[in-house]
Amino acid sequence: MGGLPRRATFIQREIADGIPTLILDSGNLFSETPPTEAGLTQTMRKARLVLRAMERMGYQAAAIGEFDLYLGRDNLAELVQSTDIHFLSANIRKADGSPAFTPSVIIAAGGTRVGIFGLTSREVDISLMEKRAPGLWVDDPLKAASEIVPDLRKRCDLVIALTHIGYRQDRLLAEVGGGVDVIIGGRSKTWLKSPQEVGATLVTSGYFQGRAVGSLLLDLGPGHDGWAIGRRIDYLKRQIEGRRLQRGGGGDEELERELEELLSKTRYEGDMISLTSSFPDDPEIAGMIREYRLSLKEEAVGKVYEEVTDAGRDRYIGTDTCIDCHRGRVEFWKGTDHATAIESLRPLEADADPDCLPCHVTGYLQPTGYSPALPREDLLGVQCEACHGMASLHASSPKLYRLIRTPKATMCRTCHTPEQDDDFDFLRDRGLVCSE
Amino acid sequence: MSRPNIADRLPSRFHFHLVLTVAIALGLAVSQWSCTAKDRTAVGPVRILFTGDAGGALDPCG
Repeated sequence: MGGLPRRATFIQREIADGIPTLILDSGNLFSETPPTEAGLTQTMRKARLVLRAMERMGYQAAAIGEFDLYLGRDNLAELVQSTDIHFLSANIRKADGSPAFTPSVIIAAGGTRVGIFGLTSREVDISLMEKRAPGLWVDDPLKAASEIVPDLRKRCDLVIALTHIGYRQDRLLAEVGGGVDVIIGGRSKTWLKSPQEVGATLVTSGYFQGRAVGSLLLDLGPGHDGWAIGRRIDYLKRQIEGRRLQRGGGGDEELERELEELLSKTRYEGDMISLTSSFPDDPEIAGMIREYRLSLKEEAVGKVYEEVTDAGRDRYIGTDTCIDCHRGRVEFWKGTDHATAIESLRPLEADADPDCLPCHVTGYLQPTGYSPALPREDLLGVQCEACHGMASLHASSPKLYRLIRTPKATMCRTCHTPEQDDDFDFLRDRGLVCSE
Repeated sequence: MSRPNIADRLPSRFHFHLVLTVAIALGLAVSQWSCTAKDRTAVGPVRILFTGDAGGALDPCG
């Protein structure tokens, strides 16, 4: 599920009806894990691509997540300054306490003034922060909200918190942070098919890896003052139900009239739409990704990786050697998805993409392992040594040098993550790739 | 020496109207931005499309 090209198609379809639309993101846009020092340049390259794609889709604002911050202060500043998308955080501060990024923005959506502010989680890796974003610290998000909301409330018809603080904190913000109409959260990757009404606030959340897009259509009647009337609606519903039970029949006409009036003032429809293959790829965005990956391929040629020649060290030898002693198992493996794992990347031109290759070849960028610069055919796919370890020493003296006989589930789960393969069952599925 | 006509010292009618117009426009702008939501008319419809934690995923494989 997911993907930028499908997302673009979905958004185009949604906005075609002309209803004023805001397109927002709740943070951690560019990396799913803290970028490593060695991977920073590549992550930034991808971040620029993601940002260009989001601009084309019409995004207006995004919260800053901690992984965005780990890109580095200068790198993030470069991204923020290169785009019209507003990157928001009201609680990332400089040493002197002043905001390090734009805390909030007011955007017109049709005739509606919408105030949007961003919040970032305090649960950051301190050592990484000191290294990548020296001089910045993250203040209490709820405190920051309490400082910024009253002003936005006065100046705007609608106040939205774009948060990257997790669902629990979002609910807390809804309970204590009076004046926020809608919280669009992130970080906890919570699936909310429809928004949760918490007091006067609607709480919803972005879903991970861009697998789904949330949609919230608000239609607020005159006299709207936040979702404050939501509390009254809840109260009225409970009262009417209570009286119905008490009387064994009709409720209270006066209360029902008031409820009807309030409901007519405030309406919303919320949904979370999974980006399945029913959404075709947007050709423009798909083209941008293809171009990016082709450039990775071109650059890979000529890169020099460590070549191990020391005969005393173990090396990758490929299945052609394994088959000499393990013919039955290798023949079985040849018919499995592991053997052809690289094939799924080729139509996407992703067979040089460093984000994809580690799980589709053997020994990616390890000494004597697969590299785009030295694309050994015998290491394409997930072959024997991917799970059992380098085998040159084992091949020279099988009894002296033992391989990993039964790979552990944790090894498999480095690729078969819940995000990538939520149906993965180690005991059941290992038989699919290796004969017993 | 003739005394200056008091009318010459007063702003002209044009200036008076100019200042008044600017003052009204400013007043309206300020009131527009500072009135509470209760005073406003209907809001919307407004649609919000949102994502989060996309983590740099380019295509369905993540």
